[in-house]
Amino acid sequence: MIEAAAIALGNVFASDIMIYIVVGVLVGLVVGILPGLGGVVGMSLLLPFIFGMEPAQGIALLIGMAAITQTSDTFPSVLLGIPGSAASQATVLDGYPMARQGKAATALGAAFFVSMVGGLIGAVFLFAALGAATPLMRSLGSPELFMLALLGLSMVGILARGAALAGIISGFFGLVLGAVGAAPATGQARLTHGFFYLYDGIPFAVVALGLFAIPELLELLTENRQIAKFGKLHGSVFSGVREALKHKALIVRSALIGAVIGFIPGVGGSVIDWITYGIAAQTSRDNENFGKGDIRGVIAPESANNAKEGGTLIPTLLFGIPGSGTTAVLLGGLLMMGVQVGPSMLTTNLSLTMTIVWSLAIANVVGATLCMVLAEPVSRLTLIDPKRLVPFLLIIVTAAAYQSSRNWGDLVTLVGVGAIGYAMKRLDWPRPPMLVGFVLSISAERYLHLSRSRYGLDWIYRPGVRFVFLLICLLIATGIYLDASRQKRQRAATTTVVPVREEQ
Amino acid sequence: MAAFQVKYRILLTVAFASFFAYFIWSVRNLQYASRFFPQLIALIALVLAVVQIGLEFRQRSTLAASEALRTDQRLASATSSAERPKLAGSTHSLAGAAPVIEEAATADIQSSGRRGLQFMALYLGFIGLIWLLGFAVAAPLFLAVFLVLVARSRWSGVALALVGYAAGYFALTTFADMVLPPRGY
Repeated sequence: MIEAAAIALGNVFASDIMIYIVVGVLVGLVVGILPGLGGVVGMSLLLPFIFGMEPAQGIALLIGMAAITQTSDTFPSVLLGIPGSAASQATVLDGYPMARQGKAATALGAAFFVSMVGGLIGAVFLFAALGAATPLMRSLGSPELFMLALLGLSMVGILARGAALAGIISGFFGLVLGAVGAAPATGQARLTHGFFYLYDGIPFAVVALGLFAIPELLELLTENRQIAKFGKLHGSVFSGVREALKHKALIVRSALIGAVIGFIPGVGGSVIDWITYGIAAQTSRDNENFGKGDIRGVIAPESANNAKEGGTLIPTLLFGIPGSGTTAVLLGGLLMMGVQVGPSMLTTNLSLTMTIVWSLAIANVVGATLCMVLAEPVSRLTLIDPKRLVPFLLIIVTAAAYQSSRNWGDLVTLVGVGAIGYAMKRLDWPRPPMLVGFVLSISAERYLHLSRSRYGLDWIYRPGVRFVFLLICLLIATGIYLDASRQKRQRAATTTVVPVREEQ
Repeated sequence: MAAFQVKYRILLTVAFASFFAYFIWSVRNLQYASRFFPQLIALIALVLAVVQIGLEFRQRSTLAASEALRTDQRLASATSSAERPKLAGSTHSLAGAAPVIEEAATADIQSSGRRGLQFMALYLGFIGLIWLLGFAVAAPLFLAVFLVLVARSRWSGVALALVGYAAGYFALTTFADMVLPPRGY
């Protein structure tokens, strides 16, 4: 396998494959920067162009694009508080507050650097796990996948710091909203009121844009202040890299979690960033700044969402099971080029598989470097008068929302969710839990239904289920313990300060 | 958080609770497999929302009581007897710096809320314009009107913005095959 990898590397540099990777990266850069568009849209745009291409060229183009959307979508997440795509939802929580403090370049520098490292770890994971993936894949059933969805949902409490009950209700609201449309088990319509648009469920991009983009843009207008609150920029891309290097263990840990969860099909890339963010916040001793502009809140999700690309490719290539929407379109592209996925990817098509691994690694390096070059000039966007910037952004957000299903329902839903999001923002209701609930609703329902119909109640005794259940308990217990010790430290600090004041 | 904000919070929570109740009712006739999961989560959510409403009512009454206490303290601290009737008759008369800041903050929150609603209405107008004219016409019109009336931009700036919009529109519809909303009728 190592010999095949060396030959593939030589081919990548010797032929025109590099050019296709760079073209894919450039397309991915634009797709990522436009909020609401993600890898699926980018893949769909490129599909018509791969007709008649050599498989290695077409794959380089598609992988180059897919790898980099997870990096460039950080621009809108950090600068505007709008999730660039499903993969960068959690980055908003700390990235945007950093931009408001004038530290956009630092946040972007850290995000792009860890994206590159995460992407490389994902590529190594893909290479290393190719041989060992089959038995692991077979051990995963619907009960384990349901438990993983619950693991994602358990992050709701963490994301609702200081407003636990409101956060949980917000998460449940997302779950209920996600249940609108056809029931996964029977296809019966729920709460569609005869609107065909709602039958497929409410599109994710519309909910994300409505919940974050519209309220943030309205807030900018009402405050009438630049995104960088104090009208100044601090830090640079390199300061971001330096900050990131202080958290090496977090980068590696988040990347590995991202790659492993990405490897599990069905849970979806949308929840990886929430899980890694939650774990980072839950296991850090001094976690009181999470959600207020803590660099670790940017590092954890950004490292994971790039690493997951390596993981999602394993079931796609070996079993023809797409791990995410992007890999589903990639699978279509491979079939269009006559590539038969399956065990042959490790035998007759091994050189092609290795080309994919190298394309992924190279695209991450090229893309992250390009993003770092662009970061400082683009972060000046935070200094523009909001009344001149926001109308453009409203137009982009409206156009992007319409791409979800190209139906007028997208715009009506955008306005409706936007109004709810704005009310929640004004009244201090946590919004991220709602998005987590929405993302996980259908998968949680589907896997619970499958588990109950296949195993009855016996599914709860499966070792994988017990393992994930223990993990959930461990995370919650760690969070409670760390919160309690933080409060204890704060109380101790208060009692030591008071006598000093009295003496003065 | 001020008492008036808690009032709006209660309204939002009641809206959530109503939605959960309606959802439970609307799926009641579906097959068991279709309604089990959503009904279960909506039921839990409804119970939690009711608890939240109770907590918010308690918070509101606590805040109202503390605001009344502060008013009494201000009345008591008013030095001259001539000031007393004035303070008692008006909640806006102030006796100290802290209440001034507090009331200014409340007024600011209320006015920024009103501004937010105005901008929301402006955005709704944009969506209505798309419904009437289609995106291709409505977007530059909205951009120009917004820049002239809200941002008070100069005509040269508006022209530059429109050129930028045209370039972006051309690029997205030609190279990215983006479909933009047509007229709604």
